[in-house]
Amino acid sequence: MEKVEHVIENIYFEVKPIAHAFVFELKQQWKKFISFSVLSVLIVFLMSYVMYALEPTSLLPDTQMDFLDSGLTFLSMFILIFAGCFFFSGIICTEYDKKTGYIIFPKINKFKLIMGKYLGNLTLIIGVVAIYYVTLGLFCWYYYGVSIYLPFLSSFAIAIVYVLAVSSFVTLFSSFMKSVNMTIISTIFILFIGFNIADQLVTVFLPEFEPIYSMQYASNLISSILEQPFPDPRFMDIIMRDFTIRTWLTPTFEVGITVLVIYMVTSLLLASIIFKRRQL
Amino acid sequence: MSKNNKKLRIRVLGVLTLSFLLIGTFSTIATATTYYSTFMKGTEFFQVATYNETAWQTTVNSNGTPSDWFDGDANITGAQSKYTTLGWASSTKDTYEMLSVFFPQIMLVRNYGYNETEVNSNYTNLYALTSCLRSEWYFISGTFNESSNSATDMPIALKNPTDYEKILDDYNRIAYSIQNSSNPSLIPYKSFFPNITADKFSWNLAMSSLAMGTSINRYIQELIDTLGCENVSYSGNTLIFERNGEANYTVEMTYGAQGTLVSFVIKDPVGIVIYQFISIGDTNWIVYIIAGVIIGCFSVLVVYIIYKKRKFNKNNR
Repeated sequence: MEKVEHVIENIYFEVKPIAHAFVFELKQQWKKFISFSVLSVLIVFLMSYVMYALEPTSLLPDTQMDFLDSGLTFLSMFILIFAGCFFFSGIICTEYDKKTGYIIFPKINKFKLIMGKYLGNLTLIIGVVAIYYVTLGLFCWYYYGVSIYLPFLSSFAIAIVYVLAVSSFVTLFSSFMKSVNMTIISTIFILFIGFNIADQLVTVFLPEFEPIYSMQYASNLISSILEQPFPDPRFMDIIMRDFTIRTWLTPTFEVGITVLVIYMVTSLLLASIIFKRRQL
Repeated sequence: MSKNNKKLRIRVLGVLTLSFLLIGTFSTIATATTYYSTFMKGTEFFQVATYNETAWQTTVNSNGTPSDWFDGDANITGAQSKYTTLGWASSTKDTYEMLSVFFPQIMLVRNYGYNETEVNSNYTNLYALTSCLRSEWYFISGTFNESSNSATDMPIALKNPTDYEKILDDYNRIAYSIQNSSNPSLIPYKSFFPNITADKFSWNLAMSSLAMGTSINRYIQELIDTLGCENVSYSGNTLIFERNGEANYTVEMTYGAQGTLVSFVIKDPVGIVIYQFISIGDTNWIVYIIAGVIIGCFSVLVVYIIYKKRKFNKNNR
């Protein structure tokens, strides 16, 4: 019994600094959270209410699935990437920018500090995603009168996995970049433009090759999971004279999740190695 | 002096703005001679509330069921259907376009002197209308499918209900000319063009694509009075058809705030309900929840910011 109490006490002391860093980060970043939440609600409101309810000739999608699909495109294309970059860009590099990373005998273990910060930001960004989904779900209910159905929750779960992958990717960049601004610019550039350019090149030169390396391509799963039945084939061929252009629509559920998890694990591992080396 | 001038200018501007607003409002009311449609995007659910099979067979049709009138499981009590309003548009259509909607058989004789140009040159009426596009899920006793059964349900609300009489008149004149035509090519088609009475026309309208403009009771009144129906009457927002099947019965169709059907009731001569489906609600109220949530969150945020500011000021004193 005494041993168990001792173990619990140990765990408490191990977790306490993480919890403190977590709460501190929540307090620190709440303005960003409010801004992104307002932006999310505003985007859904503009896309769902202003576009459809106020303009009679703008036809509603035929089914709720199509409605949710169009609503979620904006989430994976912009909100998640921007939120990921803005929330996580400063997670490590600010420690060095403000010289706190160079303290030789810190009061709190630096890994626990980063973990607390990471979890704090992750909670906030999941909150933003949840607000987006709830608002979109309410509008879906308003137009189609159907309660939230299972694929919509699956889509939310995939969006969280995607957030984990993006946040880890940005944390990796934050671990070796010098400033927050540079981290934001470089990650937005890679996530927005880099992956898209790579996808275009693959489409042209290797049309048979599915771009499973791309985080952007994996994010298509967020909306395609709503489609009943799931798209099969998962590509679309456009034939122009003698040329065939193949556009890959979505990875399979298993492949998409695996790719995102690989991005997350690899990025976090590399980030922790770089962070450790940077302290030396 | 300059202060007084400024006040005077503001007052004059205020009076002018108010008068413009009032003139605008009253002139709009004065010129609003036609009805306007009140469709709303959203979903409306219907449920079969009553179906007395024996009474149906002895009164309405011994060989049929409500499924002959309405698609799906309309003959099962408790079955539900729904309509999702996708959008609507106002336009003006010529006689041929209107006849194609209400009497599509007109297209059968387009090669024999009744094509669009010829019809429109002889019948020059124009019709202002609002057509709505809805997805329809037929009556089902289980859960609804994700995809609708039909995405082309199109209720039409003519802005002026007296126009229905013009359409019927134009059709009957065309039907008369086809019946009396000496053109041998038209002989096989003559049976498709009977003379249609106001009662039959109003029944076909109500069972297919009729929608009302606001105010609905005045619209119904004007529609039925102008058509000159014999066995159709009205009461408030309800159209009442006196019909005959195996025996006499009445059909009552009630129209809701959006100008579309919300209740369909068949009664025997004594007034006992044989068949009934009713609207069990729409989704328009949900917008108030959304607005409430958004306003609530915004208020909490404002209160929190004010609280923080006050606390900050207090600490700094």
